[in-house]
Amino acid sequence: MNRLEVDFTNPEYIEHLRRVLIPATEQTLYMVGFSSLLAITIGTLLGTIIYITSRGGLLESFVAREGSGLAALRVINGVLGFIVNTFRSLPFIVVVFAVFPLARIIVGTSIGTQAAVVPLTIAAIPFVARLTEATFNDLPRGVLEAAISSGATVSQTFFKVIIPETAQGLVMNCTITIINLVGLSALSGLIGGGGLGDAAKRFGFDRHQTDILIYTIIILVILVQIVQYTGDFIAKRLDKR
Amino acid sequence: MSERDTLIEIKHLSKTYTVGGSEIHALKDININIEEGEIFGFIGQSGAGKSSLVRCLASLEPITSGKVLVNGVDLSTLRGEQLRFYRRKLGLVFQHFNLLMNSTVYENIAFPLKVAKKPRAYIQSQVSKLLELVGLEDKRNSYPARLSGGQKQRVGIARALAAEPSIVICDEATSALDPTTTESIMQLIKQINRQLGITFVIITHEMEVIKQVCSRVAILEDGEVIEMGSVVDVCAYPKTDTARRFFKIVDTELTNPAYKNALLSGGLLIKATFVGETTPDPFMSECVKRFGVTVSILSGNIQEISQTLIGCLVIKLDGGESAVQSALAYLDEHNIITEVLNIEQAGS
Repeated sequence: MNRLEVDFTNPEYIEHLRRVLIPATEQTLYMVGFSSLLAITIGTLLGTIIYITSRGGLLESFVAREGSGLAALRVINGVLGFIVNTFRSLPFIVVVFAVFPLARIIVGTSIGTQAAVVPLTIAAIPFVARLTEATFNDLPRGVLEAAISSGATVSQTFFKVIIPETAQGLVMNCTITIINLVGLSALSGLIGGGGLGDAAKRFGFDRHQTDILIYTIIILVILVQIVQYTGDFIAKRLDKR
Repeated sequence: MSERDTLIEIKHLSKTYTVGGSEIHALKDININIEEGEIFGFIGQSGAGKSSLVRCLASLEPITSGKVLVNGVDLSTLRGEQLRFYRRKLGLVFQHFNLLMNSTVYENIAFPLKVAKKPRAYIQSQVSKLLELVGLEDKRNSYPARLSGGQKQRVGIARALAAEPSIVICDEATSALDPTTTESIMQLIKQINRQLGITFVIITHEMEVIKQVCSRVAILEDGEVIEMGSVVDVCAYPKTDTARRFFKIVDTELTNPAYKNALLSGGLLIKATFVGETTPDPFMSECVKRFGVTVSILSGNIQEISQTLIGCLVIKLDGGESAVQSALAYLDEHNIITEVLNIEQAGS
């Protein structure tokens, strides 16, 4: 492809921008959208299990009085904690190579935008899990005790106390995760995932098309701002403290 | 008071925590009966075992040995729904309120009823009643962050009362509040006790709280009850140093400069305690007349404790060994408790 002068009156130039930037943006949204959804769902679940089984956690508060089961909690907590730490210690680029075969099994191909969702999700799950756990841990123990001593069950304490009391924190975790995934998705060009990072490299870096580079930067900044602004807005609405 | 029924029986209660292989005996062989409708106080320094006691009574933690019977039911036998029912019927008021910050005052108070799946209409009428009782009708839809400490604690108390408990435990409920607010919360507790007949267990390190609201008190030290009795008795006739420290009415330290000066010329320094209607003045002048002793009053204080006046005077008696002894015997006869403060110096 020939290099085109920056000229917004030139239909050819506009067409070129559309051909490069629109699919790249779509690919980024696709990768970030699916991996966020999956990672936040699975990660929050995992973080919840780690939290409720932790020492001094929700289940212990109940088990402590009810009798047996402490040992089982310790085992579950220990195993999940170890798995999360293991994945957390891997740089994203290593995850990309390591899950190559896995992507083939899950999405039928190990390259392309779909395949890129797999390493992104796997990299983000432990991150979300730890964020979730930390958010729950910020809730003062006394609030749990107040709920327990009011006669609440484990699930009532979780759904009527822990979740509503930490809602704003959980929303902020989603914001951070999505923004992180926007960043990580830029690396997915490595396995043909495409996206804005890939466009920036292929056109902006390899072919010295600085204008394309600048546009990808602008689009990325806008994307991140939208996510951050929306997240902050929702978190603020939820926060009555 | 003695004809009341026993509501809580604590029998040989011990609680041991194992931390890193070593055992910590938080509670050692506690034996106390708390009667229905009374306000019973536990006082102790931090680390005395107060929190452990709360957690055992509220059934948040298992006890190591002994028994806690409430209305004759052994807490350690409760499981599942029975245990949750017991917890609902025991209100807990916390030092740091522990309210749901993302819920309104109304929702906070309704919480124990909601988890018990009470009908909506009942919850509404019950919460409205409680809001009126604690004087927060206008804060119904406010969030706790908008409330003062005292108002937050009123919400905490209303929540504790929501499920119509027979017992309310106040765990340092006034320790985070300023003196004026503390006073108003104590008035509220007394009012609830009188109006609703709810038994209160007050756990505190503040002697003022005990003196103002409790009828009986137990002093906890190193996990043991070292002294127990009516608040008046413990104040007037303390048996242990800890009790003396907590319920100090007048300064009895010999290092007090006023006492030091007075004792330069010799004599006995005496703490005279009188309880109830007695006022010491006529007895003091009588001592002077009858036995020819000199009496100088160095400090004094009168306090009202559970509607009983307790006064304390620190006086210097002089005028010869036998005259002083006769004077002491005379005061003793008239139910004024005397204690010689400068024993060593006087002996030497």
